[in-house]
Amino acid sequence: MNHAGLEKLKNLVVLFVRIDTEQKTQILSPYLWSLFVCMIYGFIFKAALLGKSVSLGNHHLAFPFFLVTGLFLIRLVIPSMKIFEDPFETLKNHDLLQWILVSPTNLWEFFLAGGLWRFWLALTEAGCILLFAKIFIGTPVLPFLNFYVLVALTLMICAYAGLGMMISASTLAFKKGSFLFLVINQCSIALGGAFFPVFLFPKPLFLLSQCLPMTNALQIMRLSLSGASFSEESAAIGILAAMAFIFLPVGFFCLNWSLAWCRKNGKF
Amino acid sequence: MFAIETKNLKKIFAAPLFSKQKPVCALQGINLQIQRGQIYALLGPNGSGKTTLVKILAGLTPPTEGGVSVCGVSVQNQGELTKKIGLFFPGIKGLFGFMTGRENLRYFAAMQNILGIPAQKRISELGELFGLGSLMERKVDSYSDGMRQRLCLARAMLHDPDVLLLDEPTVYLDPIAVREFHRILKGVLANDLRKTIILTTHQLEEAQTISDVLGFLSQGRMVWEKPADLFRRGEANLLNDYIKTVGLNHLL
Repeated sequence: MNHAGLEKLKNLVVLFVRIDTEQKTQILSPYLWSLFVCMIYGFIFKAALLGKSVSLGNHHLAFPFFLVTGLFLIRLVIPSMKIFEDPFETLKNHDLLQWILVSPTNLWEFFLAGGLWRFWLALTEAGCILLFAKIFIGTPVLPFLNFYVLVALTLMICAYAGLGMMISASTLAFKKGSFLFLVINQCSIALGGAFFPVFLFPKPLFLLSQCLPMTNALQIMRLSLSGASFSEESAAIGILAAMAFIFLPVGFFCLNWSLAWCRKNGKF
Repeated sequence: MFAIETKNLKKIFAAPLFSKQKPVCALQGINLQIQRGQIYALLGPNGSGKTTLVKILAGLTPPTEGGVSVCGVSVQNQGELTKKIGLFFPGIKGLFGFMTGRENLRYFAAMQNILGIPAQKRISELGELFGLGSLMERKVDSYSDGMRQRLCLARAMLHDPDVLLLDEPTVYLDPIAVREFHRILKGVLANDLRKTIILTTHQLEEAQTISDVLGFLSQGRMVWEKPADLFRRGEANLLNDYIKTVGLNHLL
């Protein structure tokens, strides 16, 4: 990308920042959620949590780490799924879609700018959870800054972004996307293992939970925090990487196709 | 070379996926030839195909059949077409109310690949051209509808297009703002800058006052095309022609 391209991208990102920061409550609510959740766990459950650990097979993880990883990833599911849908909604809400379509700006440039901003928001939200967890629950931040945690985070965001694009495509072409969004979102929260180990589930639910990117990302993070070796994490990394590398291009293809279909049939 | 030329233009909209609805034939063999610097008013009842025609000319949706060129550029060539076309929507939405007029134009200029000093220069030029002056530093939320229309027109002109497509441009304006808007369209854009303008409207008086040619669409067909002079000189009556073409039943 040349200098003009970067300058343009910067302008588009700033545009998203300004649109979002105009609605301050919308921006602030995730951070406040992080604050309240950590405060509640810190004040009410801290004494009960101290000294407890959760079994991860051959390893054990201190309960505060188990809890914070769950909170950390649960905050990222929706922003990841909406990385491309939100910029599109912004365009539609501001009646700008037609204007963009007749300008030299490609819709994907707009999505990229919006996606970068949303990605930054999601990361800062997750960072806030770590910070508040340190303050109120006493969980150290440094162990989270390791390679496998970052790999799990990146792959999970990519996998959910791909799913989000498929849902957006379905919304555009068939007007039936919100149901899918609800199913994936709720399944991830309920079955992803954010608050309890997934091996406690009955077999069918356990198998279903293994199909969710969040379950695998959590497993990688928790194993990595408990000091497991790469070979113990490799299966989950492999599954999550496969999800990311399949969902992302398929989502891209579906969304591109549905945008072209809508354009051809005057559905914008 | 015509500014806009269509040959046997047809548009069929497919039914939504997995629905029992039938495809809709929105345009049936439209042939248009519009000269540079002309103002062409598209008239017709709701659902006659006016907006579809404008969307095809803007490259928003491709034609099903037939040829369309804008200043010699085919509408299939989206990259080149975007340089030739300026699209104007009524200004109630589509602007960022919490930003000033200048900031709005700066972001839209960036979307048109006009950045830095050239963008600042162009925005100042357009501010003067459309009499926006000190309004440019005010938040758009505080603008009247007439001011917003002028800002939208400035936005459509950012990249200095040869052709302007206006979809019901005066729909929200009071009579004084309409008059001012017509002065800008006819006096500044068409006469001074030689821009070709296509506008869709339901206001018959507007159509006959500012346009050079009137085209009447009904059920996707161009029923007639007449010079606006004919109506201005009183040799024909636009309302009578409208009723005759559409049929009184439709109006009632």
